[in-house]
Amino acid sequence: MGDKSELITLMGAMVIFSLLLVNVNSFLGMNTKVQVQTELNYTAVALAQNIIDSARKKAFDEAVTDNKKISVIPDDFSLSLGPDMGETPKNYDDFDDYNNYSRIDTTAHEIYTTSVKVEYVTDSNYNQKSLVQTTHKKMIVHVISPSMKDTVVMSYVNSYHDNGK
Amino acid sequence: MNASTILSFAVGAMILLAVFTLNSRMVQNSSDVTMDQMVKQKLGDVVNVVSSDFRKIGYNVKNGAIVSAGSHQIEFKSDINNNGSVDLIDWQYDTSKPDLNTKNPNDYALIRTVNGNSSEIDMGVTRFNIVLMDSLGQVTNTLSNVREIEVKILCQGAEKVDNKYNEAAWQKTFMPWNLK
Repeated sequence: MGDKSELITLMGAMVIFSLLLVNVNSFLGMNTKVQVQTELNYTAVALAQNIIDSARKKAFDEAVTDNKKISVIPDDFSLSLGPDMGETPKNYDDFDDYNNYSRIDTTAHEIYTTSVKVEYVTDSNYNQKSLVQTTHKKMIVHVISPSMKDTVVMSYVNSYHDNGK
Repeated sequence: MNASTILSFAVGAMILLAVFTLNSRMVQNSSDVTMDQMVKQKLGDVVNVVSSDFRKIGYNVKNGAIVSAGSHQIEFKSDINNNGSVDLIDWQYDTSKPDLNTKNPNDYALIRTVNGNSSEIDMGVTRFNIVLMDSLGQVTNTLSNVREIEVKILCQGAEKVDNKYNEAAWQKTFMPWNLK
């Protein structure tokens, strides 16, 4: 009886110890995952920022490219957002050309897919989409990659001023 | 020595071995995490300075903002302090100057020179690449056509952990407002 009880105690201890090992291993694995995620997110933010930087240098709308003037603000702005006929990413000339734009970037560690949406937002609330033209366009950039747990989302609101930007 | 004693010794030895392995893994992981944080911190510091400078390329400069450029070097003009006088800024990744403060043989000095005053940035930079692009995003060597500048930076840890150097990479395409 004495021998058996020692054996049972020993086995119990081993089970507890095994559970501890499994937990520690999963903790170490999680640590590594967090390290990788941080690295991936860092680059994803830079890629999203690249597109925002590129777009914010462009005119607010096709109607005001090349310093053209419009008579009615904001009604003369384009209602449909996206590239115009014959426009490719290399010659996008206004902010909303990037609507539905997507690209793939290959970096040292990962392949990222970036997709962009541009929409009018209301004057009073930049988080609220507007179905009619306003003087504010919001760009929302999503960056994903196969190894990234979460999608990196960045947004930028471009407001029209009378200098065409 | 009876069977149960032998079994106890065997199990004890196994547990002891497991504890040692666990301890060794914990120590290694801890070093790895610490080194990784350090590398990311260093990269972040380099990125902050690079971003601050590169965004201002050509600020308050009428023309000829980029003076010279190569794959590891760029010299440009900018009123970097917004004080009305144009400064000459040079960034150079000097592969003839290894960082002697670390055991890593891959890292070299990144040198930032403002109006002739150089400061060496020893942050474990193992790659600093510059690509110049025109308004269409095509690679160009004609400085007056440059509208975008792609920068790729790779930093490595000062010492090996688990027989490898920790790395942190970053890349960004700058489109300075004043390059028009």
